[in-house]
Amino acid sequence: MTRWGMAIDTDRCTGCGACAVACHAENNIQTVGEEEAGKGRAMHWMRIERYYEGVFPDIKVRFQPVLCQHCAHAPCEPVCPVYATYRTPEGLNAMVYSRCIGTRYCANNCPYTARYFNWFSPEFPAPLERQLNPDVSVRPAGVMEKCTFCVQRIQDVQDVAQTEDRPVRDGEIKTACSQSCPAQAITFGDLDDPASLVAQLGRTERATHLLEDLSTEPSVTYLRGGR
Amino acid sequence: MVLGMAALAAIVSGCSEELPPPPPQPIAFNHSVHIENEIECSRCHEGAETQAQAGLPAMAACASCHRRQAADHPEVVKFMEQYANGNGEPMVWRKVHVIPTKAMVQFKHSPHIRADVDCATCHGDVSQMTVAQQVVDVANMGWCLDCHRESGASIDCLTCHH
Repeated sequence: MTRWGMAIDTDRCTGCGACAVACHAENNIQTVGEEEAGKGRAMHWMRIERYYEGVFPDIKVRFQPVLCQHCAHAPCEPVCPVYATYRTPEGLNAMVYSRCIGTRYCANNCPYTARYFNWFSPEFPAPLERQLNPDVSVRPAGVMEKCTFCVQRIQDVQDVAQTEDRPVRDGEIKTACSQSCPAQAITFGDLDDPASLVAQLGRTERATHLLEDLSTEPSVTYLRGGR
Repeated sequence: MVLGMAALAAIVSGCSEELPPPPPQPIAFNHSVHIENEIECSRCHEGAETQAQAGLPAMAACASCHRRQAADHPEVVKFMEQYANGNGEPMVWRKVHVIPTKAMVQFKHSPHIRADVDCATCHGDVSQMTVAQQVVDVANMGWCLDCHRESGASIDCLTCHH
């Protein structure tokens, strides 16, 4: 079986934000403007969290990109009254927009605050509508959305691999965030393949998970320290 | 019994009448004539085998044959005029099979062709059509799912809805 997962090396992350920008472009994520962002309505499937250690000028900043953790025991899933979010056979935490009725229970229950609600109809003023990704639906107002692990890219690579009658190679699938990361801090792959880079990184002693004590069993591994 | 059959026929024909009529096209393109001349679907709809979109041929591709073939047919004449005077703008064909945007479906042709689904399964037998028109309600998810279940294809929501 396949179980998609990601490893993020926080020691490599410089907090440049290229991943967040690439994610916006790839996934047709709307922007809400300064005022609404101030009300907490900004939508970033991938965001960079900053942690400051020490006191100025002797200060150290630590960056942590946070996205949907695609938990094996996802708190968002059982609270959805219409089964709009569920775990796929390939280990993705799926969000089916056309099922969503916008109760927002899932976002309320997500300990990583990785889910975003469309408070407004998306607006892509000309000529921005021309850069919309045709492989990703534009979500209307009233539905929840979040990181999909670039499922459209996963499907594209699987499609090519099937046409060429071969398995998907490790490293062949690149999510928009991992592709754009100049420090190559983000690795994507199959956690169930012990030889894959992401599985190998997950076995190192540098591997940690966000809010591990909640037992959500995230598919995203963070690597830090230990060198 | 006869009445029942008549009622059933009325319902069935009623259903088919609900399908949208063929949209007006800039040129009265005739599929059946092209298929009679043994032109494969994939010759013009090149993307069907490898891509999400089956696509339409460039006007230059049409023109390359029609400079000689049926050059005096009124629709061909109309086409060649548009091709010559269009400043390279593509022909604006209207989509016949539309899945509504609100369904948020990402349909791909290539996996269907790879699974040996005949074009006619969704598009009807265009060799019998002078004007391409919908014969199957492609916006009906139940219809998609019936086939996916029968053929053992994925029925995971995320496969199509993302």
